[in-house]
Amino acid sequence: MSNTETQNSRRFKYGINVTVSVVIVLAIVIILNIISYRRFASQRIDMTATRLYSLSPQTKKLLGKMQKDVKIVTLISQNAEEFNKAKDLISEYDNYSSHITVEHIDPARELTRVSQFYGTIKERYADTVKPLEEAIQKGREGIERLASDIAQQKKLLSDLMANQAFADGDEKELLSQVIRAFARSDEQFKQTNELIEKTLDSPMPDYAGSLQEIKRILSHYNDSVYGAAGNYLKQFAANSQQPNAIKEKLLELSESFKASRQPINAVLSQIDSVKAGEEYTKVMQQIAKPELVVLIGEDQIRVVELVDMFRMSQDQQRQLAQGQQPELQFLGEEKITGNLLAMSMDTQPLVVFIEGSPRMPVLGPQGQYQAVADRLENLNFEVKSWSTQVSVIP
Amino acid sequence: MNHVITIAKREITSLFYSPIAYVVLALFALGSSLIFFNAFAPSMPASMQATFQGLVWLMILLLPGISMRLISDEFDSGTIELLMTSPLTDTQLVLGKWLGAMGFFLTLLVPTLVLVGVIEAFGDPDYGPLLTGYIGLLLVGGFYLAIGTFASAISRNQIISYMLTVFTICLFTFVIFLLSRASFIPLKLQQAMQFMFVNGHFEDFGKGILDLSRVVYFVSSTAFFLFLAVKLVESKRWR
Repeated sequence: MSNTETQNSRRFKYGINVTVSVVIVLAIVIILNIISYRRFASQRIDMTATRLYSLSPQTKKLLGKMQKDVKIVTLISQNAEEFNKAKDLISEYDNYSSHITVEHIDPARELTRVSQFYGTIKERYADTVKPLEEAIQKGREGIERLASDIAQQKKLLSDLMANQAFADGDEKELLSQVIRAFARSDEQFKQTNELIEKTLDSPMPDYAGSLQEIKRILSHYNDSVYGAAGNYLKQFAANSQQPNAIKEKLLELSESFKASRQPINAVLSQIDSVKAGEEYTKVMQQIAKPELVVLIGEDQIRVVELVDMFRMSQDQQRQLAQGQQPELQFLGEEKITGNLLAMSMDTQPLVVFIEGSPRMPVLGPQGQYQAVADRLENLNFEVKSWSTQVSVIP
Repeated sequence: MNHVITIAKREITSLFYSPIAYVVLALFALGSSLIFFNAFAPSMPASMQATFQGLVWLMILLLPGISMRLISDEFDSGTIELLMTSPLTDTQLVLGKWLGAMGFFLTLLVPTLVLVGVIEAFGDPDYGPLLTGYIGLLLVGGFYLAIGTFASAISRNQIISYMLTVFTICLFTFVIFLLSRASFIPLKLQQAMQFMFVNGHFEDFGKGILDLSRVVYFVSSTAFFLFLAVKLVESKRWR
C-alpha cells in the first residue's frame, strides 16, 4: 500500500519535472527565434549569380536612414515569372528595414482584402471626403427639386398647348421643344440617381465624378432649357400677336422658369465651392488602375504602376498580351526607392536646365533633354528650364 | 560521440535491410523526377526551385516512413531493455537514431543529383540557388525526422507513429497555412502562425537566399522535438 503511494508520488514528481523543463525549453526556442528574426532578417545572403534578390546600395542607404513608417501594398494579379520576381524584390524592402511593411494582394482573387484596402484608403481621407459627400447630397436634393418643378411646369405647358386661343407660330414651336426636353427629364434623373447610388456603394467612391455628373445635368437644365427658353418667352410675352390671355400665360411660365433657376444656381455654386478632396480624387483615380504598387506613408500616398516598372518594347507588350513570358528589364527598384526618397524628404529638390537659345529648347516636346527630365520628374524632382536670354531667374 | 555514431551506423544498415526503405527510396526518386520534368521545358528557367518546393510537400508523406520504426521497433522487439541497461545515455540513443535517419535521407537525395546533371546538360544553371536549395531540404528533412523520432518514441506500433508524424507535420504546414488566412483569427496571431509555416521558411532557400533566421528556425525546432523524444525515452524509466 505504502509502496504504490510512494511510487505514485514519485511519478508525480518526475511528471512535474518534465513538464516544467519542456515549457522552459519551448520558451527558449520561441525567444531564440524572435531574437534571430529581429537580428538576422536584414542580413540575408543572396546566393544567386545575378544578385536577383539584393537591394542596391543606394536603396540600402536610404532604408538605413528612414525615419517614417511606410507600408507598401502590391496589387498584382498577373502571375508571370517576372512579376513574381518584382514582388520578391519588394518583399526584400520589408526584410531589410523595420520601417517598411509589405503586403501582397491579388486583386483578382482576394476580393475581401482588396475592399478592406480600399476602406483603409477612404478612412485616411475621411475628413476631406465629408464635404464631398455633403455636396453630393445637396446636389441630389437639387435634382429632386428640379424634378418636382418640372412636373408642375409640364402641367402648365400642356394646359397652354391645349388652349384654343393659342395660335400656331414660333411660340408653339418653342413650347413643344421645351415639352420634348421635359419628357426626357424623368429618364435622365433616374439614370443619374442610379449612377450616383452605384458610385457611393463602391468601396472607394469616385466622388468627384459624381459631382461632375450632377453639375452637368443641373447646368444643362439651367442654361439650355430654362435660360434659353425663359428669354424667348419673355420676348414673346412682350411683342407677339397672341391674345392677351395667352401672353399672360407665357409671362407666368417665364416667371416660373426664372424661379426654378434660383435653387439650381445655389446648388451649383455650392458644388463649385467644395475645394476639398483633390488629393483623395487623385489617389482614387490612380488606385483604380490595374496592376500597381501603392506606397502608403504617414502623410502621403504614392502609386507606381507595374507597367512603369518594366522597360518594355511594343513587341514584348504584344507577347505579354498573348500570354507569353518575355524577359523584361526590371526598373521597379529605381521607381520605388525614388518614391520612398521623395516621401522621406520635406521639400522637393529642384533641377534647372539652362537653355542657350530658344531655338534649341531643352525641355518640351522638341526638347533634347526631355527624356532626362521625365526620369527626374518620376523620381520626384521639380524640373524647370531657364533660358539665358530671358532675365527671369526661376 | 562514439556511441552516437555507432547507433547511427547500425540504424542506417538496418534501414537498408527493411523493405519500407526501398519503397520510400523508389517513391522519392519517382516523385522528384515527375515534379522536375513537369517544369522541364524550353524557355523555363534553368532552376530546381519548383522541384525543391514539390519535394518539401512530398517529404510530408515519405519521411515519416523512415522515422516510424526508429524507436518503436526497439520497444516492439524488447531490445530497448538492452539499450537502457547499456552505458548509453538517452540523449545519445535519440541523437544516434536521428542521425541514422538523416544519413538515409541523404541517400534519398542522391538520385536528385541526376536532375542537376540534366539541367547542366540542357542549360546554364545558377549553382547558388541549387546549393541553398539542398541546404534547405536538409534542414526541412532534419525537422521532419526529429518529429518522426519523437512520434516513434510514443508508441510501439509503427503505423501509429507514422500517422502521428504526418499529423504533426501537417500542423506545421497545411493547418497553419489555412488557419493563418482565416478571417476570424486576430492579425497578430495570424502573423505568428505564418512564422511557423515550414514551407514559408523553405521558400527563401529555394530562391537562393541564405537567411540565418530561417536556419535558426529549423535548427531550434529540430532540437526541440529531439529534446521531447529524449524526455519521452527517459520517462520509460520511471513510469
